[in-house]
Amino acid sequence: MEILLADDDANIRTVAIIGLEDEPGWNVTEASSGFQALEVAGSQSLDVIVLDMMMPGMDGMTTFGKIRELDNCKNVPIIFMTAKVQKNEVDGYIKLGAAGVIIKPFDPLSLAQEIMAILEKAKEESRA
Amino acid sequence: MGQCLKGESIVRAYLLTDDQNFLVERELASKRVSKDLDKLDKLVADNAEQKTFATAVRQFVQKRVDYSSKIVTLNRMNKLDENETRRRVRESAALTSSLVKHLHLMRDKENDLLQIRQAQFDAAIDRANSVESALALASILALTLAALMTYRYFTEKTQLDKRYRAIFDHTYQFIGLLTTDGRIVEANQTALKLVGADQSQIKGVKFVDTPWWNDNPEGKRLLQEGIEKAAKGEFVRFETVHTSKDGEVMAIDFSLKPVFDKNGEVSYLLPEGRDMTEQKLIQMRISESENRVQAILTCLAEGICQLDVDGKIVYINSAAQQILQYKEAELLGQFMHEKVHHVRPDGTIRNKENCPLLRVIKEGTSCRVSEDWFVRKDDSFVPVEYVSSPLVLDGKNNGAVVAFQDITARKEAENRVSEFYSTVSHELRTPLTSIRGALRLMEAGKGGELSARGKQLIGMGRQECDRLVRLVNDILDIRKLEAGKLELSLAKANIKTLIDRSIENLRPLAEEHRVKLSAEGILDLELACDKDRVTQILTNLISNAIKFSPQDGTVTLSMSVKANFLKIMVRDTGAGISQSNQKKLFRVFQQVDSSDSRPKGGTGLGLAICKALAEQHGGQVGVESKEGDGSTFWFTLPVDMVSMEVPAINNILLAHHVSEERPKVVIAEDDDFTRHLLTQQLTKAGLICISVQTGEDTLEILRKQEADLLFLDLGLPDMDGVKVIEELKERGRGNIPLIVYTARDLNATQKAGTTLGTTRHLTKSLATEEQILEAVNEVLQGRWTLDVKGEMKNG
Repeated sequence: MEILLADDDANIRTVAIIGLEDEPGWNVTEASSGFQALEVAGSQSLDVIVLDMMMPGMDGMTTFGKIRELDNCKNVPIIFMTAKVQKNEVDGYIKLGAAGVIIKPFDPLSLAQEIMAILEKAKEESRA
Repeated sequence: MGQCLKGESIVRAYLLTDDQNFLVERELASKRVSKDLDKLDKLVADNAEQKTFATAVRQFVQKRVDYSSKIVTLNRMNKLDENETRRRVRESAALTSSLVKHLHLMRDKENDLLQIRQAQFDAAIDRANSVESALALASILALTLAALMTYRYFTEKTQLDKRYRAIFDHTYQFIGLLTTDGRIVEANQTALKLVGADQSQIKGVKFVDTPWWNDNPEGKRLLQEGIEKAAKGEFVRFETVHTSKDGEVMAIDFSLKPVFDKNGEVSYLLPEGRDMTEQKLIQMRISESENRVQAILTCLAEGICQLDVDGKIVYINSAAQQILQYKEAELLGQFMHEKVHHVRPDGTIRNKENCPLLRVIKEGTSCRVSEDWFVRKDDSFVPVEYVSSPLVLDGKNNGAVVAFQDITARKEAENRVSEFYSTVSHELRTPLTSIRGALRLMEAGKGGELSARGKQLIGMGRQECDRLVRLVNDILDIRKLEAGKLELSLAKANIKTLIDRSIENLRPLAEEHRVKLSAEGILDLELACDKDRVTQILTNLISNAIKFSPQDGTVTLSMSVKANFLKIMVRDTGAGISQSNQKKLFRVFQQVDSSDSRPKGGTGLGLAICKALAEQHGGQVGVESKEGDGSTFWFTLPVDMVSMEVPAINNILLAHHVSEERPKVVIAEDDDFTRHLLTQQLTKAGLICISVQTGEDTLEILRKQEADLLFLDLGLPDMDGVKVIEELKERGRGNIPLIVYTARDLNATQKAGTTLGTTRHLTKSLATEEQILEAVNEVLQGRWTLDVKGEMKNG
């Protein structure tokens, strides 16, 4: 499982990476900005991208749009991560094309589980 | 009467001379007598006693006339010898004197007879008493009449004078009479009373020098001029004042009128003064209050519009002009709805029929709209809040007054507040993510093995972190609830599933507190609700119950359904809550003092949020508790809530899935609330509802779908209902049962023009749910029978 994690907050990245490190077969690439995320996305083959919404320079939404323009990322599921909204407010993001939303604070111990659940749900929906 | 006597003497002459000419004269005299008697009757009509006399006189006269007639007749038949003739004449004389006596009595009664008449009368009576001068007696009656009439005339004249005098003296006006050189002849009582003088003191005094003109040099000058002018025959009028001894000032409307004699010369001057103080005051007050109202309306920051019964603007204050950026003249006489309210910012046309501005005029009840848009002159939109109230003058509906406010600033502030909360939330959650994440990883041993003490400390940190996260979430919830921004996403949910899941999630907490968690009598019930929010309420109540229960205590969930409400109860075996504390419980940041000092990890917002969420669902929350005997927290949810706004297309899909045996209704209605309500009512009654908002969609749906009933609002935004009906007829769907649901007051012709198959017309806002269902039943014509309980039988 190739995963890109883009968040400008290094502590959050660290917590997430430690939470995911024991997952067999998961390989996490970090990005500390939207630009970096775009670079990684263009050069690597990814299974999922987790994108923080609020990043300085280029925010998550812009990054999302640019990643979608990349030829190799047309169909890579992108999960938004945000501290701005609550659980019941994620519908808007999903309408914009996100596979799902992870709300901060997340539990690093169940982060992998959360990502898998989102991917499965998205898969189910695209099948329907 | 005179004529009667004349007749008598004529008869006598006739008897003596046997000349037929006398008879002709007698005839004329008789007629005169009869006339005089009538006159007498009229004269004494107002006096009962005199009336009796008059009747007696009439009888005597009649007798006398009859008697003379008899004599004439007898004479004609030559039945009268000389003796007989004499006897008859004597009898006549006796009758006459009897009559005279009565006339005397009458005259005495009228005690004010003029002396001359009296003498004439007596002389005439004397003369009449001698049979020979009987003719003279004829004048007695005439004299009596004349006397009576004269007397009456003078009495009346005196009475009239008295009346005039009374009017003169007691009128509200100050009136007098002056000589042409301005000396007082007379002044009325009202005028005298004003200065405390009597008639004798002022008679002959120059009017200018009287107390009426004290301390009034300007008035005196005007009066002097006025007298000179009036003496020349001019009418003079001016306003002046009168200052009383106490210094009280009275405004006077003064006039001077020349009185002309027969020769057209001015003989007197008639001064007249009218107290204008009160009128002046009233006038002053009216203009004062008018000015004040005008000033207030101008100063108001609130826009004020007055509409006539047609909805045309008849008044608009300056704030309203400013807000709408129109000049007064551009708005006066214009229809308010059409000018500033016809379209929404998203470009959709607003239905005039449901316009709250106009509904007020029609229905007579005021309304408040807390957020709406008005269109400015440059077609930009201004956010407004308005109150529209019916204007009732003298019990008559006179249109409406719309008071509105530009809420741009408020909306900006709201947005700022919203943004602030969102930022704060973000700024708090970001570090919390790292802190909590790090603590979770430590707890899980990702940072190496921890000592027991280390574990305990890390655990404490993590728990308090959780509490901070909850607090942030709760604050955001409260903020949204208070701003009315929390929207429920309603969907059908099974309440048993929600309860089971909540219990499962909280089982670890219960075990931690060594509290037994159980549920009893939970019904497997579907209801429309926001399942996340209901879970939030359940979690809150259950976790509270666990935290406030003693070790080995029990928390029990149960439910009941009553009057369309589902009640869910959470009972604990805690210490209970005093009556006074029960009231505080559901307020923000209220935690009840308790001797129980265990950390509860609460935010002080949980119950307030539960209350708001339950109320948002149309339910309630509450608590029943006795100190020392545990507490039962409960909340209710309406069971018949069907409020999902399902897009029409989904409804069509749905319709395919559901049993075809149920009747299908297409609801065409653009007003959200009405469509909602109808969908709810008809779904409850067992119909499959397909709702659309435009005429176009109605036609489209009916082209694709068979429907058993069309529920049609006539005022659809894109197409009038009448047009929809015509189109349907053209497309061969003229036989579909129809219920026209409109706010319009349709007359018989209009009703006849809006029919398809079996048709019923219902008036919005008047039709009750029962009437709606009744109409549905009627148009479905027994193919289906619905009842309010939603049970349905296929007929």
